[in-house]
Amino acid sequence: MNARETILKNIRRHTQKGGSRKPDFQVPLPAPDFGPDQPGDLVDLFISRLSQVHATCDTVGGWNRLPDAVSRYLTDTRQPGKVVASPDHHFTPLDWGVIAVEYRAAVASDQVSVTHACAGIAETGTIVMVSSPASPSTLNFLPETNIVVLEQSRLLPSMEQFWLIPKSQPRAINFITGPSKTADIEQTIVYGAHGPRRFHVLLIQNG
Amino acid sequence: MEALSHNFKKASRAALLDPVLQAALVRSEGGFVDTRQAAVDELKNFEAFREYGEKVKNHTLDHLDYYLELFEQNVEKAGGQVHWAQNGEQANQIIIDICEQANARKITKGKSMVSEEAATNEALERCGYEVLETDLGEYIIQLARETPSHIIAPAVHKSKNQVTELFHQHHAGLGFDDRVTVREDIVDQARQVLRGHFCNADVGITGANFLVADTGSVAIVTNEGNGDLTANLPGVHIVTASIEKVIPDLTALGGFLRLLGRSATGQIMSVYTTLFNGPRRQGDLDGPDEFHVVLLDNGRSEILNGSFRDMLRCIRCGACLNHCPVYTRIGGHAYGWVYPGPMGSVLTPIMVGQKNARDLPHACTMNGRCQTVCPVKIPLPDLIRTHRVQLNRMKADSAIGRAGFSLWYRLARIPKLYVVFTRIAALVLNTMDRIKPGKNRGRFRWLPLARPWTMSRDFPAPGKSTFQQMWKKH
Repeated sequence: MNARETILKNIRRHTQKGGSRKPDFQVPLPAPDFGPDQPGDLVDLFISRLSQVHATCDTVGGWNRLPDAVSRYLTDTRQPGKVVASPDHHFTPLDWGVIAVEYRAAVASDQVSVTHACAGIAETGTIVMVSSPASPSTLNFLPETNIVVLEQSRLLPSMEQFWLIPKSQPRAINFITGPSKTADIEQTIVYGAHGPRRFHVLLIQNG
Repeated sequence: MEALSHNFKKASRAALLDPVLQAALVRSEGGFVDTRQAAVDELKNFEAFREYGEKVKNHTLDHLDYYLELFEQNVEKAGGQVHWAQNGEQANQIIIDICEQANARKITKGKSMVSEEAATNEALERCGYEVLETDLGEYIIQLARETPSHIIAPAVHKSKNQVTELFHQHHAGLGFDDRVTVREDIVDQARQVLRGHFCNADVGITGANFLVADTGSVAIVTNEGNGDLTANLPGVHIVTASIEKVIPDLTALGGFLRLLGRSATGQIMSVYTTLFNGPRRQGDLDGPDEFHVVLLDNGRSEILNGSFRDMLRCIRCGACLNHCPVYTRIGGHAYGWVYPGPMGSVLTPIMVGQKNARDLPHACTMNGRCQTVCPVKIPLPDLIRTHRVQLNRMKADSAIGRAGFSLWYRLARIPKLYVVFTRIAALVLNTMDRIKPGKNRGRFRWLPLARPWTMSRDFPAPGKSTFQQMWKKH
């Protein structure tokens, strides 16, 4: 008998409820309750959660204003005008002006990435990235700075609403909540452990 | 990992006398407790989520075979492979075979307690592979050739100065000539050194926080992002996970994520939560070509049967460690194996043998804080007590303790005799106290047969009458 059979047989011996029939699973998930102090408005809540996790956020009037917003952020944070972006059909037609944009997966030396989020989750201040040929995962992790573009209309109250969106199962779904951090040196938080040091969200209002 | 749990008493004595460790423990304790409390208080119905977590885990354990097979089918549908291992040795052989097939040399690793159980690093190194831990805490203890002392903060026992010296010793040859003493610079140096390894690794091995049966997803939660770099950059991604990590579906995942971050680090959500479904897809610009999941049993299917089943609900958050008055004084290493603190005092005797870890269940004050904070409501004190009972039945606990308790047991079963005995004892102790010089009265610094007690504290002298006498009178 191989390991698989032995383990499953052992489990069946000790559960007595075993079998390949789908078990009845009826435990309802509680709705999270944050009390009356929490902002009721999704955008306000999302932005306040982002600031709690050391992320920054700016609003943008529309897709055509995106290059300006990126350029302003790069100037403000004193970074070179060179970014690597996901080959997303919202990005490719834009006139990026003075910013040099390359559409590809990330390499170790990349300083700034611009990515397009699939959704945002207000409850936790989380950005949801879904991998695809137009959205390589490495852009979320290798560059020093990650600029994430999110249409305000894609803001959801909780993770549960994201599961309801019909989609085929992607290779990777990344829930990202702020810049990379560690507390492994004397329990004190330091940002920029292995992933991006800076996490900036650009919220597009008329997406 | 070799179990040194039999050495608990000696190791905990040494831990109490280690000033660097004591400073580290004081530093970390308050932080973990306070941040957890703040995050828990904010979610008004946290208790409802605890109950949800308990129920879902119980349900999954009742149908573990079904959910594991469903998970396996769905991983295979996504193009991944599932391997089953009964013990650490089998798991390591599976991993070695995959590495050999991939002609691997360099292997990066995300945090995995299961691979600590199996001693995977040592097995891979014996085969000539270069293995690098990438979680900063794990990297630090790998350089120091130590083991994790906390399940989520493996290097919590190390001071900043120790890390400075360790990095100087290991990184000086890599072009980092100066000692780094500022926290940010230390983290940055690790970032730079590990960057190179991430990008040149042939295989990445990670653990898993949850296995979602319904979608075949492996969920990994980190704050540093090292898990994702380990999983995305090499050509092969191997996940090591124990069989009780499986949960039914994505809805359940949402419930557990609300429990995990708050209980572990006091975070509403950890920075990176990733669901992996199989290898790189057609047209993808990154991601591994191969995706393997190694499911490890290592005695868990046996734990399903009997008194310790509740322990299989554990989601490895570490809250019980942070709230344990024993763990927070002696740290994790004294426990002598992979899992320390209350959860370790339950798991270690099961996994390495009760007789080899007989002191662990006794290193507990039965204060119950661990159970109060456990996100899946594991009755840890009850399980610890069960170990004590079983050790007693096996006559594997200390002979003196057993003789003492058996004497007390016999006495307490005859109430009349018990009353007489306690009255005499109180009178004798009271008289002994009164014949001492005035300033020493009220306590004993030394008593026959009570040295283990009086070694570290005074024994309070009793009054003339016993509690039962006073009770009758009033």
